[in-house]
Amino acid sequence: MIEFYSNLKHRANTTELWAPTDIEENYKIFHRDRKSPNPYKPGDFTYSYNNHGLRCDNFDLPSDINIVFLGCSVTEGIGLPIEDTWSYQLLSKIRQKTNKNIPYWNLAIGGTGIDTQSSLLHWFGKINKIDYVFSLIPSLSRREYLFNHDHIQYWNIYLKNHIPIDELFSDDNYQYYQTYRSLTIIESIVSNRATMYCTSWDLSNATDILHKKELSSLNYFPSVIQNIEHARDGCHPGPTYHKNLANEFWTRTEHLFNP
Amino acid sequence: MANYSTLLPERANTTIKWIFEGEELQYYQFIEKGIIKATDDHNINYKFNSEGYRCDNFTDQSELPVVFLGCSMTEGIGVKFENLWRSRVLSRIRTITGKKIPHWSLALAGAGIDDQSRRLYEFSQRVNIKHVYALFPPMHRREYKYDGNDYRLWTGSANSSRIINHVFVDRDFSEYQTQRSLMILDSLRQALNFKITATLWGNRVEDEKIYKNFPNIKFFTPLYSFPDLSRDQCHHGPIYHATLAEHMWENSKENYD
Repeated sequence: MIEFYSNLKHRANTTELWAPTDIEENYKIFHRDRKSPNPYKPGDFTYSYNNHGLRCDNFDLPSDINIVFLGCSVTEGIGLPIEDTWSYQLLSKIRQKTNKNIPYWNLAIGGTGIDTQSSLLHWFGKINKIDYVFSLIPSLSRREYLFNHDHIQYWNIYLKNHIPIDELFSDDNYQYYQTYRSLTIIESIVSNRATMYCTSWDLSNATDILHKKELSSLNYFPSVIQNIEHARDGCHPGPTYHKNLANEFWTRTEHLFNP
Repeated sequence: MANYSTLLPERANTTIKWIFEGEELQYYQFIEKGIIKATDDHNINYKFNSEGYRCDNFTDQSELPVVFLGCSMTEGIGVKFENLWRSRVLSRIRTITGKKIPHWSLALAGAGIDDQSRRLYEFSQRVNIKHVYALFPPMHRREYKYDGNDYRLWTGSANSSRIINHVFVDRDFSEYQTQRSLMILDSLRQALNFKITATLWGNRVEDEKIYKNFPNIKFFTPLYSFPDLSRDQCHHGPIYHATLAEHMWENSKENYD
């Protein structure tokens, strides 16, 4: 039985110089092999985690508007300072326009998919009211599974390790089914209670499911932003991508926020 | 292996006496061997609505939408319609509220909580649900999807593919998927502001823990006495249904104050 993601406990209330994939070794490889300049150097920024192990403010802070960000490592901001992530930039625009006190609540976890997003949003909805949700959905093939009763393991198509699960999780219909289950959880949470906007960085997977009529509360829009540079780790999108994505969200949602 | 994507349209607007192939022959063999005695309780009609469910049409007007969920126990295999636990609960609700309430049930034989949570989600797009009652079967029941809207139920039989059997029997997998289905129900409950009263059948203390983790779903301890059997001798009979109806009512009557 999962109450919260206990695998994050080890980093709760810590500040780290590096994070998974954004490691010194990757930085050196990137620095050596890439033609594009690396926008960041070691020591330029750190990873500070809240008391739940997420890279954002604590969830018990007072807030005038409750905004939640969902996503994977891109939204968590692997390889970037927090201020350069799309989620933080979008929040800055909202704060500036509304002049409200709004903590930065980002439930994104690297390596996770829509299943994890739905579980985290359900969990968060039990402890806090939710006014707005902004999500960057990763590949819909990403799953998670339970083992030893209360441990969660993230799964993606490139990290196969258990034969039976690999075959089942790789099946298109299974992916569609589980994605639909997750989206129904998210849709039920936001419908009548909150406003949500979402997009995906994987257009090949963001198929008709996100356009389904009954999921219209998700306000899905296809993003066409090209990644022109990389983050410090050489494998995540760089700051320009994040800036443009924040603008894409803002273009669609600015009218929702008034001083 | 039930395939309701074809079965539901096939049986829509029909009334039948026997639900599965060979049931009639088996019944008369039971009589012949003295295993059971024929009674009026065995004179069963399965009347299906315009969408193939054993209940009223979903297009009927309702002053207080109530929906029942479950598997064959709730669909009522081997039990007369008026003896079903859901019929008895609905009768109580109609009496106490004085409202016109059609009998709506999404229960299907073989279904588990995954199937039922999906059907309730889809049903909620059509109807503003106010009360949900559920009798859930063992936690290991799953569904899986073929192309389009073709969903198949998995009840632990060996008829499905090796991969599905291998993964679906895993206890952690069952627990995780059950939890996700409960999240769907719990999120729907909060979004639409309806009440859920639920229990399980069978002796599954471990399964109860999962349900109890969702405190806003009014879950009560399952009945552990099974006094009689239905006509097919493999489901619970009318006495069990009457007792369960009493428990369902006792755990939900405060919702109608």
